Amino acid sequence: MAARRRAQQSSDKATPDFAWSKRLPPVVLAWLVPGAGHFYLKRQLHGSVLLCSIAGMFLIGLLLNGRMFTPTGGDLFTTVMTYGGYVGDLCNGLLYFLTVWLGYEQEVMPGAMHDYGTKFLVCSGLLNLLAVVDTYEIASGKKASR
Amino acid sequence: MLALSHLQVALLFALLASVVMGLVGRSTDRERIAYALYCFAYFVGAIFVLGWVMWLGHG
Repeated sequence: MAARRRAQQSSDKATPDFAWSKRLPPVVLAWLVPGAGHFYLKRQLHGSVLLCSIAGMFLIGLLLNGRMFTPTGGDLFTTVMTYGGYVGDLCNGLLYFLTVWLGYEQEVMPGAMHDYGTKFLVCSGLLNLLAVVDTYEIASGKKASR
Repeated sequence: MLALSHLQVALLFALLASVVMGLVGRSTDRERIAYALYCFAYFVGAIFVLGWVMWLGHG
């Protein structure tokens, strides 16, 4: 009995390492490129839809001259807004890094469309975060995606 | 730069967000389509309700 329990405990300890080696690549891919995690898990249609939707939202944000957030200290509201927006932008993965590396910079400008653009950029990151969570759930078998 | 109206941008946002939320929010294709349509309807409803509230609030 005790031996069986010990064997069960050791197999429980061993499972996470094995599982992480299976879960980590699709999750990282899903963060870097929208839909890539689903492609990796052989769900091409879902990956294509996610890629078009999330990258499309990001590109519309750029075309509307949206602004990328940079973390700025100061009062509580500014700190929460800028750090939150920065995290949202970071969730876009390579789209964000490529845009910044290629020198995209937008100043704070008056006008509703620029504001919409900024929201599109952040929300595409947040939608990509949802896609990352979905990838994790499929890879770990918690979601039987059909 | 894109030249779109407030309504067009808001509808575009609603469409893209609904597609992603529908896809990741449910497990079968039928449920996904239903949930995406449900989200889109709520987005559009919120756009019109909040638009009217703001218009009435400004007087």
